Amino acid sequence: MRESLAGKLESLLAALGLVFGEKAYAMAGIATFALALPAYLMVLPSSFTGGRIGPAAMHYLTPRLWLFAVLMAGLLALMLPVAAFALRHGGRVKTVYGAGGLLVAIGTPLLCCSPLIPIVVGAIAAVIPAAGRIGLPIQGFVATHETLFFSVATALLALGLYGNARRALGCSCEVSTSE
Amino acid sequence: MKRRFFGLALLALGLTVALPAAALPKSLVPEASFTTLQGKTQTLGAYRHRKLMVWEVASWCGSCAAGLRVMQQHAAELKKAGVTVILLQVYKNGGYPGASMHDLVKRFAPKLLSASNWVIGIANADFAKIYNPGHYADIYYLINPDGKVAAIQSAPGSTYPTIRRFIGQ
Repeated sequence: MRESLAGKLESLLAALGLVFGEKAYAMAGIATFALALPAYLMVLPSSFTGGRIGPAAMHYLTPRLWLFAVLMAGLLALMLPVAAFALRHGGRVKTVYGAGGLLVAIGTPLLCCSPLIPIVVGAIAAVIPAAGRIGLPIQGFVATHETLFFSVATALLALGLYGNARRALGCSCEVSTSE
Repeated sequence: MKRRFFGLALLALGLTVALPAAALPKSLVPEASFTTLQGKTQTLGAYRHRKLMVWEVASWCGSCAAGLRVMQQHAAELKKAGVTVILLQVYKNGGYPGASMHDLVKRFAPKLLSASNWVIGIANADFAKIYNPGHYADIYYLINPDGKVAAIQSAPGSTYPTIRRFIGQ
């Protein structure tokens, strides 16, 4: 039977309560956020710097980029301790969504206006010459759909958090039933 | 397999800052042609013996817009140093729709439309073949009066120190 959205939210909150009830995981979450937020703030605006990631990129931050950086850093800060909790309690962690979210968030600003796509397409074009023409349109598409890509990255991180929260709860149930 | 994929992804990200210069010209190519906003066809040869910045941009590119803003801030410095800037939209805007070159400059750096040392236009196919074979959305050349390319870079908003060094030469 499929769980309702309210049920999913309830499970998520229960898992967060369980994990962050332990001081070590709460501290790990805070530390992750403290590291991830500046990283996102330097990565997300790098489409304005031709792919150069660093404090200089922060000059180009907009309210939209701030919002995505806080959201993604927050989700990462919740997801990693939850995954660590599940792993430590013998559960399996789901890395595909979280890793996908990270890659999409980092890759998007670099795909436009940096040499990344031209290098990759150039390598493909060495074998299939016609492929050389697709490099710029791909960059154009990414550049004009950046908000969509960042939303997908955020959704992937949210899915990663939810998946790992379920595993953390599953571990907790297994532990409690074995007692 | 998963590890190999992420390793390759990280390697690709690591390659993003440096522009591979192997296939790019090392000196001014006089016959490379472009069309100005006024509809005239010109060749780069007409700008020989000048300190030159040749900058190709796509109108949908974020670093190009940011670069235009920064270049407008430094317009007086460039003019004083005798630098002629040839600002061109990449051929067919890179095959992706976007604002016209006039609208792009008007939006982000309107003063440059009337600056006497700025030539604004659109790269022709031959120009793109010579100066942008890698299909970059944002690439510029700094060319000395003797025709030799002093530097090739992208995103002048972030690499203005390179331009300043060129001005100071």
